[in-house]
Amino acid sequence: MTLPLLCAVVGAGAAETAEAPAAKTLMEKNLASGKVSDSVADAIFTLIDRNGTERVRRTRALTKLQPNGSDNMRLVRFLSPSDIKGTTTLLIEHAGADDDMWIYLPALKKVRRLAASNKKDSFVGTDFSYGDAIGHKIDEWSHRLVRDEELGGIACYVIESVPLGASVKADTGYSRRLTWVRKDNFASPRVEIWDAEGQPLKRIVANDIQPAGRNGRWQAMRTEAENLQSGHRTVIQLEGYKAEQNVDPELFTPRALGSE
Amino acid sequence: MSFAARPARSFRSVVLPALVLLAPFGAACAAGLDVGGSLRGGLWSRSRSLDAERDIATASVWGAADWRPHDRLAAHLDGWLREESRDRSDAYRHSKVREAYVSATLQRWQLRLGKQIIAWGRADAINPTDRLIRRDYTLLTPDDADQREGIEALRVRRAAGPVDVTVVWAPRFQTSRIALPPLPQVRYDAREPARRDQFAVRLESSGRTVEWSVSYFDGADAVPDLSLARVDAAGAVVALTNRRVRVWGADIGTTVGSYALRAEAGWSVPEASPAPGFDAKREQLFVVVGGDRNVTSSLNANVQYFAQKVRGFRHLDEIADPLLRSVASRQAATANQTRGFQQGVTLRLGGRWWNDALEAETSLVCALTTRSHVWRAKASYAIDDRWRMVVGFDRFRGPDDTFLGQLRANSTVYAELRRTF
Repeated sequence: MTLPLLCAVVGAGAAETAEAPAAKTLMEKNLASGKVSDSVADAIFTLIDRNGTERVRRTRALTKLQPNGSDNMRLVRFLSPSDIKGTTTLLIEHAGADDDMWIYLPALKKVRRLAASNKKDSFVGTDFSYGDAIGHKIDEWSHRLVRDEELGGIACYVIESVPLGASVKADTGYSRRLTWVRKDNFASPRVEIWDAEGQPLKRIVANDIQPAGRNGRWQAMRTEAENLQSGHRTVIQLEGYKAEQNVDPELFTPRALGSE
Repeated sequence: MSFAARPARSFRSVVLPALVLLAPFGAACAAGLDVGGSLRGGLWSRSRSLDAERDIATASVWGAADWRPHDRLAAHLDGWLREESRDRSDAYRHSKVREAYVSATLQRWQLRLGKQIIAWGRADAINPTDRLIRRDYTLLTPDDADQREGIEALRVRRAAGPVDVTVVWAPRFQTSRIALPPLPQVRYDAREPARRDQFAVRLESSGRTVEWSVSYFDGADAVPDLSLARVDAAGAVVALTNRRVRVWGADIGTTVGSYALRAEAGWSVPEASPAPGFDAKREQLFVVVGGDRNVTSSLNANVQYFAQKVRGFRHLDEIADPLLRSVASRQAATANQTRGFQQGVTLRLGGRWWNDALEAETSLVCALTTRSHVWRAKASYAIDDRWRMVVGFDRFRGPDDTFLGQLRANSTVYAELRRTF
């Protein structure tokens, strides 16, 4: 092999090596961009079928970062409609282990623990999965910077993520994700998702991204997920979103769920 | 002062000022008040009362109100009104307050006073430690949970590190309503228990990899014992007696990969133990073990094994008198103590589709020892956010002298339309 060709090969390998960490770093910054110390918000979930028929659910949601500063806790209590009122889900992330999930069922007056694989399941009937709600673990995916693209006049990185291993694909139900990451604040205005068979499954669009708290974090006030296969859509509109409220960590325990 | 003038003067001098003073308080109360419920209309092919009633129409209003004037103070009220198309000769209620309590939280203490539903046990549907429950097994409703009624109690809960301690004291007792066949020349006579107070304590650890609880209950058994009280000119009188029982219980739960695993056990010692006759329950150990997992993204399967060991079991063949034996047979079936050892399995398949608009579930409880079972299925479709349609059936099969087989006449098909508000 001649020296110029060897340099080209080495250079190409070096460039490829430089891209991979950059893509992963961008995804880490993206994940961190939405992690506030805690938050409180009312949310309206509007479920819209392909015929335009709407069903509306109102919730009160709390989040809080665990002491490690990276794992989140999320509590969502349904306020309406009446048939699910009082139903409460608790999601607790664990970086090095399966996440924990519980659900309080008001009709039974019981708290039930859910198994980890439920992450690919629909989050209380919406087009978001439990995994979408918790967030996908960066280290479980391989990331590649695909291109730069302008979206709504804002410059973005477009990053492709594929699962590292069959178990991740099985747990999430996803074989590929494309994430648009804003260059200015690393928030994500758009995600496209492919199912385990490689077919286009879902598109998530985040609008009205606003500053959250005082530490350079961002939160979308309106997020829409569209199931491209069923034609069903879910719109989440946040109302009264407030970050850094010193939310009591005791609220994120199964004990607190069952005390209602 | 004339008789007519007194009310008018009272209104001006007392009522009006009171209304003015209380109005802001009332507005504040109303501001923190959350009210909801449902209107329900149903049709049932058979009752759940072991009688001959057919094609029963039901209409009911279910309501609940929550008032939370402060983060640490709350009140809850829950009840129903109903009417049915059949004539009921038993003491049938047209209304019920299921819960009415106030609760207060102070640091690690939580107090709840009033009529309240307290549900214990991690196993699915069969809970040998769940002793603080009152239930009307004859109530025609698609959801078993709706048959439950609260007990009047003081519940105190203290968080002590990773363990919660709960103590319950209930000064009054109310029996569960069970299905008893209306028989010619047989009258049922409900007896008041000698002691009506109930006490229970539970230690529970939750939020960790393995969750568990241990409990103790000392009170009247919600399901009465049947015994032949006397025979007179009008026929036989069968006494219903809620005898005292102590129950030591434990349960445990965890998740292993995609499986959620649970187990629950209850060791019950009735007051007549260790050598009761045929007119009272015997000491027993009841164990349930199982788990569930999602078999697809929309379908969940739950499988459990249960076993029951009755101490000092005696065969009904020892009873020579046919009338006594008949009553004893019904007592054994009602108490689910027809064998010295029983085992069985439960299976539940449940799913949600079309973004939870359609929910369906089928369950089977199969008592292998007695070759009896109950098969149930239910489907619920949300027409929109307000309207929901529910259809289903219960099918009991087995020998007459078994717990499930004796309920064969309660096999029913039903439909219900529900409008929430």
